[in-house]
Amino acid sequence: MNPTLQSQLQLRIKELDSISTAPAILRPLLEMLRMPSENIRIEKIVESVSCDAAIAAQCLRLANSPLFGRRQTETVRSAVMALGLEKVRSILFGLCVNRVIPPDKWVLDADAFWRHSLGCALVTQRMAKKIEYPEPEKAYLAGLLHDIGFLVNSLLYTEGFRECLRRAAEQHVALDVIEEQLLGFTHCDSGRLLSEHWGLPKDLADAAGCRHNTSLLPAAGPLACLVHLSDLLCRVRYLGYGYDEIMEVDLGGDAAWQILVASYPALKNMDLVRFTLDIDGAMDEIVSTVDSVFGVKTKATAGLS
Amino acid sequence: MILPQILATKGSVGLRRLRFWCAGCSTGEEPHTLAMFLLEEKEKLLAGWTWDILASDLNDNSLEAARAGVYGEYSLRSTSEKMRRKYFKDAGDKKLQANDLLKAQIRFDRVNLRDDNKMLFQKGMDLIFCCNVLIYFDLASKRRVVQHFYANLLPGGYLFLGHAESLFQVDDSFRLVHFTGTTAYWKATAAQAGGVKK
Repeated sequence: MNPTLQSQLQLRIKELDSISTAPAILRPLLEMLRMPSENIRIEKIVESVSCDAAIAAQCLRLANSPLFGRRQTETVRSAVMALGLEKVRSILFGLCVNRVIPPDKWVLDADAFWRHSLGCALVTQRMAKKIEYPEPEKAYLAGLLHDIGFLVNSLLYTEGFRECLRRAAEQHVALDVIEEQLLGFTHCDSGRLLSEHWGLPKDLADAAGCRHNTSLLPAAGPLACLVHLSDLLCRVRYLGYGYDEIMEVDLGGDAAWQILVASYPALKNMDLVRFTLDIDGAMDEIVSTVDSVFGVKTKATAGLS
Repeated sequence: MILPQILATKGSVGLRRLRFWCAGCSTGEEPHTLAMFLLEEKEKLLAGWTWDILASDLNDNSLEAARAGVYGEYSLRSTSEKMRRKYFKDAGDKKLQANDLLKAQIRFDRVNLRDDNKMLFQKGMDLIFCCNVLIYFDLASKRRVVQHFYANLLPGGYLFLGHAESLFQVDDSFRLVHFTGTTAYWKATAAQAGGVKK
């Protein structure tokens, strides 16, 4: 992305504050993301959520889903007790981000977007645990938020982004390739700028911003590499963006894999075929969870309308 | 999506013949399906190309059934009505038999995958399918068979195993590649780098 375009994009992202429909609890949650987790109080989270019944209900549905252990929590407080503060914070943050775009402004199929994001969050976290990455919860959040650039592209560049999606689906290629051609920037670029605008920690911004540009990965660190690999894995297992993308991915030869193996040799002991089958096993749960939490029915072609 | 890539690599050096091997073909469903696919592409993607399908198994009874090519509804459950009419004939008893055109595409042979002498003579393959066979082998035999497959594949060729089969801790000569919905093992060429290949 050239510097002029970057400045324009930065300016436009500020417009998001006035046109987005983000719930009121997004701000306090953003503040909490910047705090060390030991400084966050349960009361603060419970109080924030209590003013938004819809978010609280979605939070409980997600917290009680099989993906998170099929618990029977009935209040946000008990969800925090059962799942931990960081997990509930991540869940809530994901739910808020979902509301940034008004329902009629979604260019991408909202359903497919949330399956991909949730799938990527779970895969990133599983992979993080396998290699004993010290912050698996952050890995979950990084996976969940890695495509927030779509919010910017959908709201601020609606028609251009719609055309990108149409062409990517028609040619069965990666969306970022077409975004680069038509818009001059990708959803990763806009995702990084939105992360910075929201004041997200640098490693989360890097995870959103470096995925399709592997030359940036060495400086970005392990979280961005984990998210990059998880994103690829999800896309080759039908958890993509709602269109058929023709891909051939050599994960072991990927720059992100090489970087991670250098720091986490345990990755070499991961059977990628088995891991891929695990993702397949979780896919039905992801689909039904997204359907039940967001109440959206599958729309195979909705993203292209 | 694999085929165009192989065609581009081979076409550039003037080789317009493809070799496929269904190792452990059992009663022949897999090679017959492959043959139908290739025939359907004959005037399109594969115009000007020839091919050879080797279908092998250790069990003589299975091979006999594969050569006969007679299938019931269960085996044909994914075969469309159009394909059935084009490549099969009525064999009575609600069964269909592969017609002469389809049969002519496949060379059946008895191959013991543990027989080194026989394995050494299956060179120049572009694609090898060996689905749910290696699961019956001990680790040492598995390694040996996979090394033969590697040696028999041309650079840039692919090995397909069964859905849940993995070469993890068996062999690291191949590169595992993910396609949309499936995985395969790839014999890398010197010029092809890793990462997202397409």
